[in-house]
Amino acid sequence: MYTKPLNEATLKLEQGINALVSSKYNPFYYHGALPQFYLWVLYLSGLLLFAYYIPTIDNAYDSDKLINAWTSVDYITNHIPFGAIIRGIHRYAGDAMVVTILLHMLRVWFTDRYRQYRIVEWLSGVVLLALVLFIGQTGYYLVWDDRSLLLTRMTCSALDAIPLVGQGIKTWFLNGTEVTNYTMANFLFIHIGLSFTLLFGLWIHYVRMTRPVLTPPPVINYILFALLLLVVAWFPIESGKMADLNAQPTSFEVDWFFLWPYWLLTFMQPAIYWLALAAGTVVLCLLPYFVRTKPVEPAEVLEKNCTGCSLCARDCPYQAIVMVPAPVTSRFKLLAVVKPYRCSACGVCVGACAFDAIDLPNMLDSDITAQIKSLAQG
Amino acid sequence: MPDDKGPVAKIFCLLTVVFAAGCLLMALFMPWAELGLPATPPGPLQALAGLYGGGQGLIQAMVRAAQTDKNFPFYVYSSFLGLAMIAGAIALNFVGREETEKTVLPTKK
Ligand code: SF4
Ligand code: SF4
Repeated sequence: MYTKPLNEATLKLEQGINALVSSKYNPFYYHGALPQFYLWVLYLSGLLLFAYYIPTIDNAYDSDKLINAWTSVDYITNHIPFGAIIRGIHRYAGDAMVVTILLHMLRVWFTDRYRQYRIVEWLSGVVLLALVLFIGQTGYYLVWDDRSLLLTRMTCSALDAIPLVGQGIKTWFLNGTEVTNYTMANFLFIHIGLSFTLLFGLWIHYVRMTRPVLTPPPVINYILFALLLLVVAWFPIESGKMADLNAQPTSFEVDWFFLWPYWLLTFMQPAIYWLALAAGTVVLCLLPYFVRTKPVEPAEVLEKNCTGCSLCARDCPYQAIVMVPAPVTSRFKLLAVVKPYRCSACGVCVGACAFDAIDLPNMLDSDITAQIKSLAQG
Repeated sequence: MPDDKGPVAKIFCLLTVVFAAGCLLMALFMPWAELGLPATPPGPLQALAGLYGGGQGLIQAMVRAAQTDKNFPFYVYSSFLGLAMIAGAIALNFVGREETEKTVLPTKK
């Protein structure tokens, strides 16, 4: 299979890190939890910024007593103790989240853990990545410097190019027909509202996992946060000039983690840009279907042996077993039923059942034990 | 890294803890200075202040940087706390690593 060399390289790298830091603290074994850690950091730092942020554009550009989004960000950065640090943490935690999501995605792809019974995780992951990118972009509008203005205008002209619904989406985006204070309120609402929607997306992402790893161990958390502190200190962030609606900014500094779609827009017709984005998303979603392998043969319950003890359902890593009321002819109350599309044929339930009531087709218990033994000893 | 806690690992662990403590101390001296507290701290801290006073050149460079960017002290705290956390994590990696993991296969039925 084409991912085999990539899988081998990933496993080699992981072994190398194991030699350095022991498997207990190998970040590769918490690859799904790393972005989640940065999500908590983003929520917390965002809450602190929200306490001071004022979502208006107040266009009286020359006023001395101007209070708007840009001045509030400036106040946070230059007048509140540690404000620059909190702002930096929020910004770089976003970047780090994208990096760790990409690592997570590559890892599950390279190790072939994204298909078949894991399809819900993959598809919800693609949607979550798109959401994270969009939320990050809305963060750039909120600063309300000349880059924010340019990005807002680029978004509007790109939306204009979408037939039928483009105008409607643009009106929703601007919260009107032009940039006003309501626009900033909308940007803030989208930024915060969608951030909490991520939690719902994560629930779908985890719903088929019995024991998802949600938090890395403290040692890894320290390192993740420490790296953030160092980057914040060594690469301080600065806002550009305050946005002036009468000005025509033409260039902007690209944050490659979030703003690459705008970079694409600079040399693509909007219609081609949307097609390219849609095609990229569809290819990502269909990736699991490009590989043909033989279908999983799910575990089977032998009804006459099942006592309804539920041990298999509790142990199944993929939530593939449900307990249903047993038929009236049974002397037990419950019966285990396997949902075949969720089953990975991992054999955990066979090990869990003390009554020989669940089996993998074409595989004897003794075969499974032999396989486990050889894996554990090899 | 060795699996057992041999002498090299112990020395490395000790150095890491000392480094982490140094970073924390450095980070704590900054608010001390910023709050305008006495340049010579009282009692037993004087010895430490003497050590700290050894790096006059470094301090002057920091003061100059602080004059040009008023967020500079915050970036210094941030750096030292970051370094301390990394050192702490390295120390924990030594202290907290498990003994050799064993896979026990239960005999079934
Ligand atoms: S083999 Fe058993 S434990 Fe493994 S996924 Fe299928 S039902 Fe769950
Ligand atoms: S562990 Fe065995 S007996 Fe218990 S519910 Fe599952 S299949 Fe039935």
